[in-house]
Amino acid sequence: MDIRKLKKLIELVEDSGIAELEITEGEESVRIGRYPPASSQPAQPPMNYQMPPQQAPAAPDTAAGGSEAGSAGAGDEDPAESGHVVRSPMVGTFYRAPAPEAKAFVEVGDTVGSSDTLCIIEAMKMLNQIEAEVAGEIVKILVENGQPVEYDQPLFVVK
Amino acid sequence: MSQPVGVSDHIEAPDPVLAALADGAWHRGPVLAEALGVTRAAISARIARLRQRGLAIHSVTGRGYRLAGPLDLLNGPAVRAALEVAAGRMLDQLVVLQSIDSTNSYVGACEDGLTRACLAEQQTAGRGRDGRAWVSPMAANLYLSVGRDLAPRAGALGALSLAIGVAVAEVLRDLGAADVGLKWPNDLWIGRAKIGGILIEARAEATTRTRLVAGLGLNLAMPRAAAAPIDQAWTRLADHVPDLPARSVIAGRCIDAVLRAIDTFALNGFVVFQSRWAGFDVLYGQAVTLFEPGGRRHGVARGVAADGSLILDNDGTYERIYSGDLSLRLRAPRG
Repeated sequence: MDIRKLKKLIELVEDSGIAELEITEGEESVRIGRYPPASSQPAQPPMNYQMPPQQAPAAPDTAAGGSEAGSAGAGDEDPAESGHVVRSPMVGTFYRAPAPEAKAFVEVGDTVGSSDTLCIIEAMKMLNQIEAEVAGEIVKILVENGQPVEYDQPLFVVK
Repeated sequence: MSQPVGVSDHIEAPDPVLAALADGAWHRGPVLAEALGVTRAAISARIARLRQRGLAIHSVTGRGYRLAGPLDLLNGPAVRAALEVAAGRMLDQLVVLQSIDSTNSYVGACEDGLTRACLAEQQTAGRGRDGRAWVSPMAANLYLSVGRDLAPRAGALGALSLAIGVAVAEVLRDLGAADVGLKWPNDLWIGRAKIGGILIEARAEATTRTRLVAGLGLNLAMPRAAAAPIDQAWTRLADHVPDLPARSVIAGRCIDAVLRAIDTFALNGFVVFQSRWAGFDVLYGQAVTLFEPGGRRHGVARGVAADGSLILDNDGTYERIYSGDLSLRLRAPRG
């Protein structure tokens, strides 16, 4: 599917009140959810536009999925609903701390100001500090330290 | 525009004992004490402190003190004098420090929006990518950070890190170094060894501005003993350029090049730098291994794309790489 079409679809979903949209075009199918999956999967897909395992109607052979993810799903969705989602402005690698042994910038439950640094995204040896954008409490951290992130991928939920 | 009113360069003077010893000649303790107006005990205390900072100082009864070799100390006015007119006007403040944790941290902590260049004789916690240490012994190399605010969201800044690499590589080439190269994204090489590195920190402040700090570490006359912790092939400019200019002059030329690269990039983007970068590309057409947090990938490097990403050719599948460490892969010897 054309990336521009995907972007349009995502914008459409974001602007609307619906939580999820699934489109099938020939053999291709895409499902777009407004809320990211719980981040407990060991191998979380880098793009949240992909089908999160716990929402798949029939996900055969997902060893990691199963009941653990399923039980985490329903209860965790509410906080995101009213929270502000901080997204990655670029493709790169996500770091939660300024250095490998250093303390993380933020943890879940921390209160942050709008100009506080939440993380660093490194691309081409440029370390980009990402600000909270809004003041509030960190309710979710959606990416693990050291993982690659895509453009516009949700990183944090601040409420 | 000239220097803003009330802002002047901040130049820390070197320790007077070090300044006296910098010529590499013998200096007798009592003579030093008299010249500096202190006691002989104060001189030996200062010598001890300088030794703690990693300087090799010989002392022989009857002859006095001598450095293992002459030192070329940084000189603020000489750095300024090496700037072209345009860069001289852009630079609000030049800071020369004797010792600091990291020049990038110093410049990053200044929140006054000034365009600033900070040089230090020594870094006690010099940083590379991923929190790795940058070996920064006293008065031997160049540790430089340039801070400048850019207009809000000045486009995609990622490739700026490559543009600054090109600018510094051109300085080295113009100083007379042969075989200067760049390893994606911006490691500076001479031949097959690393001579310098660049680390850029950017902070987009909502809608007002993007604060940029570009750090450069360049090995000029790195003592071999100090280089022991470096875990890769390294080299120093003194081994490639006979009659190297003073460190202050090289520093000035680097500040000049970095400032110009930042503004040219902000105005035109990477397009102005892409072919110049390609001219320094040491990985082009080489078999490489990309080390990522999740594992490693092999492929052939096919140059850089218009956004500064590396093009990795994996058996005909081309992929753009934005992050990770690259190393040249040694081909298995054929039997």
